Amino acid sequence: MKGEEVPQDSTLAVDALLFADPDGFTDNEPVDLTGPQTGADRIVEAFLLAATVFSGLVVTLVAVFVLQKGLPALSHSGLAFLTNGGWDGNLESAWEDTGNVIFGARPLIAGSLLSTLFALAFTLVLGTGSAIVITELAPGWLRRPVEAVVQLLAGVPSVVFGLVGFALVVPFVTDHVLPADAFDKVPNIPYDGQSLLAAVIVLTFMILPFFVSVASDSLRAVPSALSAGARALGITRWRTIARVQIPVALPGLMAGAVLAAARAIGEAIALSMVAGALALTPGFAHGPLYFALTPIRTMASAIVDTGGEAMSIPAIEGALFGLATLLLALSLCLSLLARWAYAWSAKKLNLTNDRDV
Amino acid sequence: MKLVRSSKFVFAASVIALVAAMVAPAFASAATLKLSGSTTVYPVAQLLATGYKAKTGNNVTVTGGGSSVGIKDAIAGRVDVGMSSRDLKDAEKSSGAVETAFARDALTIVVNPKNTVKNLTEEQVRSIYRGEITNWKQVGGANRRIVLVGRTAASGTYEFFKEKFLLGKRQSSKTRAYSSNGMVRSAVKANKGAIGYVSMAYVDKRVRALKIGGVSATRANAVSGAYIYVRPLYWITKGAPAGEAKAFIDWTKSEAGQKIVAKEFLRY
Repeated sequence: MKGEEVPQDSTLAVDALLFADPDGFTDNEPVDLTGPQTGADRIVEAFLLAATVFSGLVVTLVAVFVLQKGLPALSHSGLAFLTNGGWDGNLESAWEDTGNVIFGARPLIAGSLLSTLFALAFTLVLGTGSAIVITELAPGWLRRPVEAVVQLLAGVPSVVFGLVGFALVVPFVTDHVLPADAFDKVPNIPYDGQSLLAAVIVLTFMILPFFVSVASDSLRAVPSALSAGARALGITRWRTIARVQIPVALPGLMAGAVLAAARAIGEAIALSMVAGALALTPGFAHGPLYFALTPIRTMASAIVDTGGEAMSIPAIEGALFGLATLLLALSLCLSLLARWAYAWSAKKLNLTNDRDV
Repeated sequence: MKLVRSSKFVFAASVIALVAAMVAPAFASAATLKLSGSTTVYPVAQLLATGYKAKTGNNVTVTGGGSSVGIKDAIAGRVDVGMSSRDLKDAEKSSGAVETAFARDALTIVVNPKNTVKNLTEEQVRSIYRGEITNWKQVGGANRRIVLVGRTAASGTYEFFKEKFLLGKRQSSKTRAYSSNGMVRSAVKANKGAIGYVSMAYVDKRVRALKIGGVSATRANAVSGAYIYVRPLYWITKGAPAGEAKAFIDWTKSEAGQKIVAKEFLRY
């Protein structure tokens, strides 16, 4: 996204370079940035262009393929796909008689949205805090190890988070959060540690590192002149952070949030292990605690859990592609939202991105 | 500069050589048999593949996916032999799929090791999975809610469980449905109130197999016929087995093959 802001005029670009690197060029002559080209360069450029076109084409084709398979299933089930429950039973009906089964994926959609939204909320609070500590508050000897840990966490495969969640988070929820009389109070839901709550905890730790690394980068990119100016005016450190640095870094923070949300909504394996493997829609009938303790299943885990064995039945294959279509639409919405938020915050701040000028 | 160039060349050449060395065997080997399907059959299929390679020198590659995937792959010609833990459906038979039994597997009802219940009748298992019995104290255990753990609709293991224990009726919609034997075992291990059903090959100290109607779910009882919840495991081919696939299937049914089968399952 930041790339769009680079000035197109090559003279300007050189000026920017001069500012950025005072030991660089000493005269103001415009420089031809393309430079001499050899045959090898042309081959490499052609190859890069072909690779770009190819990858763009593949992404488009995948989207077309998913839509082509998913849309008929969605229109067959109609609005019921969004508003009805009973996913597991629908699957079984389709498996038994391959007749005219209407699928209801509401619990899966609710599971995906709720787990992502809550995890994102925790991530924004915890992540912005950690990013501020990393970039502003922590002394140098602490900063580097903390950043290294964050970056290491960002590279951990999700199945590892699933295993750890299954071994630690789920038993913790069972032993310390789940009320002993849960079954007497709500007899029709099989509570155990696997729940929306466990899913949110695992997802939060999974997406937090993504957000923190993007957020700390964008906080660090805030021109030091701004915070120095604020301090010179006698504004306190916290006020500078809250009123100068965070607002200026806001577009970057939003980009980080969208990245994190996109990972959360697509997460399948880890959530299959900790979320409950049961397509229920959390409700508030018994209060917020039981809402959080409801076992859920997300769209992405439903695809993974059902995919392999049941794809031989066209109705089930269609329903799974219907879920994939919804996931695709959601991630499209997320990236549109990101663009809009970026434009909005940039406009509101009346700032452009060439911060060094 | 020259040195840099030549070292780069050496690097590139060695990368190419390495890639070639990795790819070459795939093309070089004379006969490779491809298998896919049931996660129940998978572990023993791998043992059989190793044994077959040792005897004939021919490679056998095995991938999972589930019974239905194996059947579909075999019909489509994507694999030479499919693996299945359920009988063929009529539609699959009319597409040309042929089943050859090579082993038998016992289905076991498992509970958490901390559960005090040791024995259930078939009727009790049915009532539990139909959601009519909901607490372990109703079957002589502690006052603890029963948490149902099972498999997703398309599982061969579920198909057999449904036919034998539920008499064709469905498991309760409150059953936590997982996609593999291993995940069912993990879920039962993790919850003191859980009950699940898995292939006998997956029973270990993490879960405890229940007696059904007083009969222990042991290999000896399954062989003798005292434990009746035994199902055949199949190789699936498009049309009658022929060529390399037939050679492999015949070998798995020979004494040498059946010795390997008996490590995980029962002879056919």
